[in-house]
Amino acid sequence: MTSTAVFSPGSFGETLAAVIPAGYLAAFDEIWSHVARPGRWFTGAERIEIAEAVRAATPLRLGEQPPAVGELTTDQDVILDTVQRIVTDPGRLSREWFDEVTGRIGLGRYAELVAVVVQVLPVDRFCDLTGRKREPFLAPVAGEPTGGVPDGIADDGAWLPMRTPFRGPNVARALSYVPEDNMMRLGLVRALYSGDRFGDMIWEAGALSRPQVELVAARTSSLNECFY
Amino acid sequence: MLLLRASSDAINGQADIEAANGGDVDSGVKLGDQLVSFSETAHAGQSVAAFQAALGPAAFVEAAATVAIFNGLVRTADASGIPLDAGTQMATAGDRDTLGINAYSGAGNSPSDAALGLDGNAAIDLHTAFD
Repeated sequence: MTSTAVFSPGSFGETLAAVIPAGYLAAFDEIWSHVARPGRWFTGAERIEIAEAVRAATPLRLGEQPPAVGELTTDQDVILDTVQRIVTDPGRLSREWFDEVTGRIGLGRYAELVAVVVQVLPVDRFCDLTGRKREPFLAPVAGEPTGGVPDGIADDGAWLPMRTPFRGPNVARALSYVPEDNMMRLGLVRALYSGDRFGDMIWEAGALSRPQVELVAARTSSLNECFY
Repeated sequence: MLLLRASSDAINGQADIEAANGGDVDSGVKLGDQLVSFSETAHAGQSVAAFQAALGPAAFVEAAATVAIFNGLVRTADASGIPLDAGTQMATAGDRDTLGINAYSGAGNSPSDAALGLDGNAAIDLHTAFD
């Protein structure tokens, strides 16, 4: 799959440019190109709207309550509110809320929406942390969504049906309802985190040891109140 | 947390998983205080630029990458409602109880430890932990 070169080492500044792994930038470029293309359930333009909504999401003020799903008038309102909740308060999502949302927009659009969020947000977050400006999204690619639930998808205990049977962590198949997006975001996970050495407890190639990486991961998960 | 413990054990380290909750805990990990503080500063949406001097550029970039991707992974898990992998649930029952993780709303996506007869961390083969 071809991708447009958007992210360059030089844009991270002289000091960091020398140490930014090329694999990070290649993964970012692939994500940027992929997000702009039609998916299974959304057009490229709709996916870019979701990506822009990720950036527009802001935490609610203290004491402010999100609107009930039933109060939202259009599917677009539901989609934007869902992005807002996943970005700003993921630890408070509930099964009841999920059932209401997917009752309005369907499982496919929900899965793809989540997939776009979790591809865009880490790239933006990395740019923020390294002091780099966020990149504009690419122009959407014309075309219709391909549609269709992939083979081998079944209810296996998560809210979203997943690829079953499966060997590996559930988080790896969590978005297998939209397999092309799931594959893309797993590529980002490999680039930024595990490479091809997830099962190895000793990492010697990077600047951080595996316990150091896992400490950051554990603290970040805890701050987000993530049970998984 | 499972991987923090396991990777520390692999190098005969002394990682304290309670550092995942922050506070005045010695993580037992080299530069642990800086890395925990980096994670907290990042989560607060504040600049982490000051950590570059202490961590060095390459480690700084890797810490940023880890924070970034785990912000995607936690949202993947929470928004899809996945349950804990069976091996992980067995291996972390005691740790989750200690850290208060079972109080998180996502706990409702997995069977309770009591229903599975779990009490404390079971020793497991990490290669099957996620099956």
